Amino acid sequence: MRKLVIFLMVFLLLLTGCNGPEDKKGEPIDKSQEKNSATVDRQDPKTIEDDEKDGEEGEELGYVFEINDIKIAMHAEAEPILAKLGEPMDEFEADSCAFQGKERVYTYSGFEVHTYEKDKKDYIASVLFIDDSISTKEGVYLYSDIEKALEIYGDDYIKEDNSYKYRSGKSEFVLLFEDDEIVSIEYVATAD
Amino acid sequence: MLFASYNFIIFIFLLFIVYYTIPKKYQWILLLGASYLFYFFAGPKYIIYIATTTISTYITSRAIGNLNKIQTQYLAEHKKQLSRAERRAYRESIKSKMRGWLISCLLLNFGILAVVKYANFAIANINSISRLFGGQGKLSFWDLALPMGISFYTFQAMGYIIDVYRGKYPPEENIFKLALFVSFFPQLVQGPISRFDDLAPTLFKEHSFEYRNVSFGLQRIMWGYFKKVVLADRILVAVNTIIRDPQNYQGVFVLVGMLFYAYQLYADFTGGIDITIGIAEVLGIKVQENFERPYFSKSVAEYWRRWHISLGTWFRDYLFYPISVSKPMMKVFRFSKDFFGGYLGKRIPVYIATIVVWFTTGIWHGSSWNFVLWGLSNCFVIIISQELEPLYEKFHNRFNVKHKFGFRLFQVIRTVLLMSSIRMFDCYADVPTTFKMFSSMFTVFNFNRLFDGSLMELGIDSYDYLVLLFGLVILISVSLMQRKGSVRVQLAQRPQLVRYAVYYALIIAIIVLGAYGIGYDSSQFIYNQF
Amino acid sequence: MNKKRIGLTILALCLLFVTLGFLQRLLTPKYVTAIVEGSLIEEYYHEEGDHDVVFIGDCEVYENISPITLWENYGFTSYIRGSAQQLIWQSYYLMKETLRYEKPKVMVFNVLSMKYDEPQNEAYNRMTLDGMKMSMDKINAVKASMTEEEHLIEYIFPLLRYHSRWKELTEEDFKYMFKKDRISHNGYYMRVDVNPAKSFPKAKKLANYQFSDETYYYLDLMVELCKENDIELMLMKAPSLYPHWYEEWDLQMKEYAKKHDLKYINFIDLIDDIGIDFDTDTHDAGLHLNLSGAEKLSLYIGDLLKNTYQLEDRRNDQRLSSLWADKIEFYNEMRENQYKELEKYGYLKSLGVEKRD
Repeated sequence: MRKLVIFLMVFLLLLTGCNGPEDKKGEPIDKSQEKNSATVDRQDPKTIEDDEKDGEEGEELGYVFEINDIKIAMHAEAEPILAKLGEPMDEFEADSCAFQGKERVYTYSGFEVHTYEKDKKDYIASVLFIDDSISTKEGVYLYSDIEKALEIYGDDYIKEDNSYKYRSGKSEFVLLFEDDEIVSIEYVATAD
Repeated sequence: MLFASYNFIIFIFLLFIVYYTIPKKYQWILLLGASYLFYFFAGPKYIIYIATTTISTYITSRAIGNLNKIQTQYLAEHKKQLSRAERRAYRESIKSKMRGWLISCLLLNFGILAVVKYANFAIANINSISRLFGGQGKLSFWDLALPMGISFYTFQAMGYIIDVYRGKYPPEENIFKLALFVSFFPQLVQGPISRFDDLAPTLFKEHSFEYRNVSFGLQRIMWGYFKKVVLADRILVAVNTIIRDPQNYQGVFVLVGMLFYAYQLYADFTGGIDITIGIAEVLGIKVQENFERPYFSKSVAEYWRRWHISLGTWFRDYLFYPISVSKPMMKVFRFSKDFFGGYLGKRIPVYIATIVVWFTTGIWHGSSWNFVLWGLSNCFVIIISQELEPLYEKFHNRFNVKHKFGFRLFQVIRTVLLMSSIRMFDCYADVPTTFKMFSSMFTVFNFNRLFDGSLMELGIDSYDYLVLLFGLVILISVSLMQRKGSVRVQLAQRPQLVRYAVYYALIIAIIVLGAYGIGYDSSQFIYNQF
Repeated sequence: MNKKRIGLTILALCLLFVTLGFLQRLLTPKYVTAIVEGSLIEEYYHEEGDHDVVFIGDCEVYENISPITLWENYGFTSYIRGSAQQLIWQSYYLMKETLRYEKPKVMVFNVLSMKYDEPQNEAYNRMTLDGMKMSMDKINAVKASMTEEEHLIEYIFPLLRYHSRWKELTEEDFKYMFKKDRISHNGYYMRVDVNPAKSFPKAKKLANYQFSDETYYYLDLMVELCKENDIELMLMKAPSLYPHWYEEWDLQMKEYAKKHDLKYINFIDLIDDIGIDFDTDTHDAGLHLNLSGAEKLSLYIGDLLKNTYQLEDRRNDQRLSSLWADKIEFYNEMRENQYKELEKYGYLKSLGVEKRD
């Protein structure tokens, strides 16, 4: 009988030890599903903040486009960024059906900034490169070689059709290619 | 399934119906099935943990039971042949076998708990220490998800096995009944931590439909939901706004956050327990109370006898007492008596036991230094007030205020403030922030911001404040009523019309005023993540 | 004694349900002013008589086609079952649901929603689904549309979704609790204001131009449904300049139509033929047409429908013409009112339009 207990003990230790990697790939991990009473679930805000602190610095902001020392992070409030970017070459505004916020596009030399509206405030929805006069801070620009870009950004991408997507936090960095040539570079704000 | 989810509400209502329609002898089996189903929803793979605890506890309890039987039989058979010393030696040998079983079982189960709950905490600490000595400190964290309710069911099962070992009651022979005791779903998520001899008599009994049980149970459930969904989840938004942005919310906001958190925690935790006890009551099962109007306590020690009662008594019975009478403690006692003499000599063992208990209580609540310090702060306050007892005595002899309303009110408010400020440890992200925020209460003077509209920017609006104020009045009134006994009994003596008016108001309030659904998704989201 | 008790309990329960029903009506958004688009789906149930043509789709149908113009000029009856950002599965279930009430000769589906293959947005879901009467079609539409944060039960009992609106109640909520004003013209959302189209950002490249299997699945279902019921299905793409309708998409639709022997018309290619002038015929810079644009498009569509499907002119039908006379009156009245409002404020205040600088 006691052997059984010992066996169980070893088995369980193995089990608890092995659970890890399996979880990693799957859904985000629930830190703990239980509420521990007196100070019930107060772990929540903490664990979230901890995560932010522990993660790599970029993780929280996701992919950030930088131009002339102006940082454009996805989901960031648009107003201060637009103020720094100065007068756009062109500005476009599209109503959505039934007044569910406006989509705005500001065109600057080399790129477009798209915003979305939430609670009457604009936030960065995406940054799209429109010509090869600019490059990412890692040095990738339109019509350059896709292989080179993959070398720079690594292989942690999702390949879908003729695109490579890199995810970080609530953002994506998307490269489209045709015949080994990058034809689109975009930073996109994602829901999760 | 969270208590405050549609699925859970549908789940319990279906259960109630099935429970009273099937033959009574299957009722407890249904509950076992429901409990495992509930567990299954939380994540099928976790079932292995609770099953392991159940099986190991069962095997151990039966082994101890058998040893007991063998001992009784042997002693009865050999009564004549054995000398007193031989009998004692035999008992000792049996006892040591039992102890072996008990210790293996405790090690296994607390071991599992320690690994899943504290491994990452340990790794983080090892990393910091190694960094301190110039190391890399890059041990990676384990991705261990905490099985639902593991702290609760482990304690409940271990309390049971210790009781069996102590011979308080014979072991349960049916493993499935034991499985139900360990996994009984209403108390799985947040307690209370029941004792087998409290719960078992009604848990396995056959229950016929009784109007009073069902109606009282439903009332209690609704009251719980009111507290949880209307009050706690509403104020939670403001609490989170404050504690997640310590840069912006200092000084008076720390105080506001502290008090709001006291409100939130009370409404959430007691509400949850109301739901638990209410569900059990509808099923005809009696679960012990876990709270006794804790915010009316006049001292921290009293508060801890009235807040999360089942945890406090667990630690008292299974940790504090055993430590106090353990052999090493006796040695310490003798040593300290010789060394410090008289008073201090007597007190030191008590201190040690108290500190151990509070350290454990702290870490039980969560695996971080915040909780350790939270536990030790409680301990500190309790020891100090014990030590100051003679001084209080003198004070009360000199001034006859002990029974004056004003003085008692002062004591109550003092206790609430004290408990709330200690609780700040479990609000803020880390210990340094907690200290910083605490001191900002006394260094940052921004009382004026209470009136500049900032309170309306915490994520709740003036309507919410109105609801919360109204809720506070109700909470206090109900607590005052409870001093005269069960509110539901008092209510039952009223005309049917009055009673129905109360139900009606509760149901409408929960549905309309509840802080649930899409308007509140952000708080809900945080809630699910912890 | 016991009888009395049971009686009282039943009475109390009734009272509770009545209260909850009452609260549900009170707290559900009314969509009578400002975002009137939320009322479009529901208004269909108040409609008398059947229709020769039913249009189904998103804002590209309900803002661009005027059934009144069709009646006045061609004498066939039509209705638009359109709603804001209507997704294709919603269109399918609406189509199916429409068949519970009538059997039109032609159904026209606007294909823009082919680009969305997953649930998008709760607010839009609500505007489409809340208006539907309870039926299995509604339930299925809800199930197909729900985003992660949504629950079926909140569609069955909207009170659970809108309970917090007690904070935002306005006079409107009380006024329109039981009866709402008519806001559309057989599903057409009228706008007389003008906001000329300017330049548009260049269409960005996509990784994949292939519409997903999910959307084709529902398109197939629509084709099948119409075939089973002997209804002609026509596919259209409204002449909106934005969002961009890619060549690659257009080709797929052309192929699909050919394969299933359907008519597919891309009105973007016909903007000049129709005579739409995006300086005067749009109210939101080229996304949707205003009244003048919608009437032009309707004339074109009417002609097309009449010739393609040989629709009868029913203007001589006494009952129908008196029914439509009333509609025409309401139409003219609203047009007058909008012009007046435009004159007074410079923009359509009552429809929640923001003042342009």
